[in-house]
Amino acid sequence: MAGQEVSKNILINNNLSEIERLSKAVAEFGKKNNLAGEVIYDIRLALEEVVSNIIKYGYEDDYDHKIAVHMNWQSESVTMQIKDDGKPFNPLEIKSANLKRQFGEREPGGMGMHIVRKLMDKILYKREEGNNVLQLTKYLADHPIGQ
Amino acid sequence: MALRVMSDEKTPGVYVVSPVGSLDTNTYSTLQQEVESLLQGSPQVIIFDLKELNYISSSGVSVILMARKVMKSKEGEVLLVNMQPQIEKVFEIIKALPDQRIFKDIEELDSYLDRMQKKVIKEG
Repeated sequence: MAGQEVSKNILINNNLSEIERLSKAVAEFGKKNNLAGEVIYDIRLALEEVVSNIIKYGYEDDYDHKIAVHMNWQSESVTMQIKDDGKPFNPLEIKSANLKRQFGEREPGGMGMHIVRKLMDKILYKREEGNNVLQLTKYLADHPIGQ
Repeated sequence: MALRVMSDEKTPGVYVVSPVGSLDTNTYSTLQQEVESLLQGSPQVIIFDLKELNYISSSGVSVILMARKVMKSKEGEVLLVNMQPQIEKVFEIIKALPDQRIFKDIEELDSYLDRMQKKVIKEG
């Protein structure tokens, strides 16, 4: 299909202002692959929640760091990989926000990871060569393209 | 992915806050500042009109939950109206809605406010 972009790599700095650039890249990727609006939204949101957690909680120094985001489209799924060199940090271990607890008492990042768990169909984490590698998969079966 | 926030006093003590655009990690502080400014007064009701809000993440939800918490402590109320489906989906995921009044449109909201006002007059 003309204009299709099967995979896309984005390298961002550990600065929250970079999330806008990431979101635009997701929109572009989704449009080129004719993904459903809901799928693009879910991917954008999941990546924002994961990356903002990394930026806010993943580093204990003031140095610049790079976060590598890779998106891959296949006919039945979209897979995203987020790789960072922050401290060992498995977001799957963040307890899903205790939603009955009052705002302000929840574990940092809990709400965000809860959203990611609900939006994504598969989540895998590994620690590899000093990097956190998180893989998110969204199945497309329920979302015919372009709807 | 910008955000504009408009706010307007609908009737004395009843404010309509309309975030326009994207409410995310980089823009939530714009809404937060507006809400904090309103909360310094004594609003009875804060209505978030979400008609032109096309994206929300946990940062944005937190601002609305904060407003709700503060208003509740002051015996006030937060109401949500005109929520787009993708926004409603995020609130449902977080289960922030069980006891939250959400109105599908302004007419439904106005009808509720009228009933509340009549109830206050009757009880007064």
